Amino acid sequence: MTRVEYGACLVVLLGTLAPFWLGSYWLDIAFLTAMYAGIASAWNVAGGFSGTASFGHGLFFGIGAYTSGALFYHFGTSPWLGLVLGALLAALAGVLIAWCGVRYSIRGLSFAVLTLAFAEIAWMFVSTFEPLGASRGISLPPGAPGLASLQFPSARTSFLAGLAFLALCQAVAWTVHVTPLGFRFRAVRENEKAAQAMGINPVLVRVTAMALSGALTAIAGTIYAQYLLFLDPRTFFGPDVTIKVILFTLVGGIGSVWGPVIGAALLYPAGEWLRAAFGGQVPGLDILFYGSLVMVCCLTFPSGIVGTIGRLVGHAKRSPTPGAPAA
Amino acid sequence: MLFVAGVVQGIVLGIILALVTSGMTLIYRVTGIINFAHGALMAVAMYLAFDLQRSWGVDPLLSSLAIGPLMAIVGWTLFQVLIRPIRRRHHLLAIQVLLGLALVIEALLLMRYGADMRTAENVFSGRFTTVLGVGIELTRIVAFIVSVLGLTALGIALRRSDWGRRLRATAADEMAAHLVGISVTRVEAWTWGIGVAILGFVGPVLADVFKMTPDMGLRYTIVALMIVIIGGGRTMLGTIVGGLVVGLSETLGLLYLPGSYGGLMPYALLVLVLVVNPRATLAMVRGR
Repeated sequence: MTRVEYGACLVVLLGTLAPFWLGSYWLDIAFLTAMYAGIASAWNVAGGFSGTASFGHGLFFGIGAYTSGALFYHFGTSPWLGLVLGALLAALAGVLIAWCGVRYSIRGLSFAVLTLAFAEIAWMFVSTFEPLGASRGISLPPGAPGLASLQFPSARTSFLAGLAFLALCQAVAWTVHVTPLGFRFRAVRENEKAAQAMGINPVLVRVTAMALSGALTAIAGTIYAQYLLFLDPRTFFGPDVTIKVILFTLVGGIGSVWGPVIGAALLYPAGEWLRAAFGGQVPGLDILFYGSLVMVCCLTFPSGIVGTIGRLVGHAKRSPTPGAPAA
Repeated sequence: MLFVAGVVQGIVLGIILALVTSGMTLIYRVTGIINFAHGALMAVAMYLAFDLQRSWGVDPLLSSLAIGPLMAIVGWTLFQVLIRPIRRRHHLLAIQVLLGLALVIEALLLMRYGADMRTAENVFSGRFTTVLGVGIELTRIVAFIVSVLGLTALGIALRRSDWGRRLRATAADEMAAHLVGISVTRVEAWTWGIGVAILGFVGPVLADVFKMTPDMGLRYTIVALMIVIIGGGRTMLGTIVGGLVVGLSETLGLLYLPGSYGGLMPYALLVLVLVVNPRATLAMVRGR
C-alpha cells in the first residue's frame, strides 16, 4: 500500500465512525453513502479496471432487488437465499451482456449503449409484468427485524449492514487490483489487441469483470430493497443509480481501488445536505451541485481526486487511469 | 385500418425524431463526440418557447425563429468552453462533462419551472386533421412538415454549400482536411452551433407534440442515440431510416403488443442492429 492509500484508509475510518455520534438522520445518509460507495466500487471493477464501461447497472441492481423481493413476497423465501440467487442471476446477465459485446465486437461507447438498452428493456418489462407488481411496485411485508430477514430495526444496524456490503466490495476490488487478474484487466483496458497477442483472453476478462460487478450490484439491490421494503421499477431499474455511481467514480478517481469510495463519501452526503437545507425553497439544488461539480472535475482534474493527490505527492502511478490524458 | 393508422403515426413520429437526431449525428460525425446533453438542450429550447408564450404571448412557431439562432450561439459556446479543452482526451470524459451539463440543465429547469408537465400551444393546437383516413393532431402534422423541410435544407446544405463540403471533408479525414487548409477547429465549432441550433428551431414546434418535464432530457438523448446507432451514425439518410425504424416500431409495437410492451420494441431493435451489424457500432475514439 502507498501513503495515499493509507491516507484514504484513515479518512474512511473517520467517516465510518463519525455518523454514530451524529444521530439517526445522518446514520441513514451514511447507510446510503456506504451503499453508493459499494456500487460505485463494483462499477469501477468493470468500468475502471477492465474498461468495460456500462451505463446499465440499474439492470443488476434491479435483478438483485426483484429476485429476493419477489421470492420473499410470493413464497416467503429467506432474503439471504434471494440475495445469493439474485447475485447469481445478475452475474449470469453480466456474462451474457459482456459475451455479446465481445462476440459481436461491440466496444466502448456502443457497449455502454448496449448495456443501457438492456437496462431499459428490463425496466419497461418489469413496469408491465403483473407478477412483479408492474408499475405500482411491490410492498414487502415487514417481518421480524434481524439478520435472518435482512431487515434492520435501527439506522445504526442498517448502517452496519451497508458497511459490511462496502467492505465486501472493497475486498473484491482490492483482490482484483493486486492479483494477476487485475493486470489482465488493465492490459485489456489499455490495448485489447496487444493483450490478446500476449495470450490474454479478452472475452474471459470482460465476462469476469461484468459478472463480478453485476453480482456485487445485485447484492446492493437486495439490501436496499429490504431497507426500503418497497420495490419500484424506476428506483431499481431506472438510470438514476448508474448515473450517480459513474459521477462518484469519476470525481473520486476511475480505475483506482479507493477512488469510487472517496467520490461517493464526499459527494453523496453533500448532495443530501443541500437537498435537506434548501430543497424546500429551491428544488433540484443537489442535481445542480452534482452536475456542475462533475463538469468542473472533468475539466480541471480528469484523473479524479485519487489520481490528482497521487501526482501531487509524487507517487508514480503504476496504473494509468483511463480518464487521464494519453501521454 | 389499424395498421394504416399505426404506419401514418409512425412515419410522422419517425421523421420528427430524425430531425431531432440530425444534430447529434452531425456532431458525432465531425467531432466524434456523442452529445449527452442533446435532449436537455432540446428541453431548454422548448421551455424558452413556453416562457416567451407565457410572458408575451408569442406563438412558439414564431419564437422558434428567434430561439434557433440563440441555440446556435449556445452550441458554439458549449464547444469553446467545454468540449475544446478535452476533445483529444478519453471519450468517456466528454460524455461525463455533457452528462454533467444535462444534470445542470435539468436542475435549472426544475428551479425555474417546477416539476409539472407543460406544453406551449401554437396556433394549430387542439385541432385534428385526417391523413389517409387517419385522424391525427394538426400540431404533429405541422411538426412533420417542419421536419421534412429541415431535413431537406440540411441535406442540400451538406451537399451543395461550402460549409457542407468543409464539414464532410473534416468528417471523412481530419488530417487531410487540415492539410488542404480547412480550419478543423472552426468547422467543429460551427458543427456544434448548427447541431444545437436545429434543436432551437424544432424544440418550440414540438412544445405541444411532446410534453415538457425538466427530466425529459435524458429520455430524448437515449432515443436520439438509438437512432444514431440504428442509422449507422454516418449519413443523414441513415438518420432518417433510423428515425423511421424507431418511430414505426414504437407505434406499431404499442398497437399490437399487450400493455406497454410495445415501448420495448425500439430497444429490442437496437440490440438486434448491434448484434447483426457490428459495423453500425460507434467507434470508441475516432482514428486520428
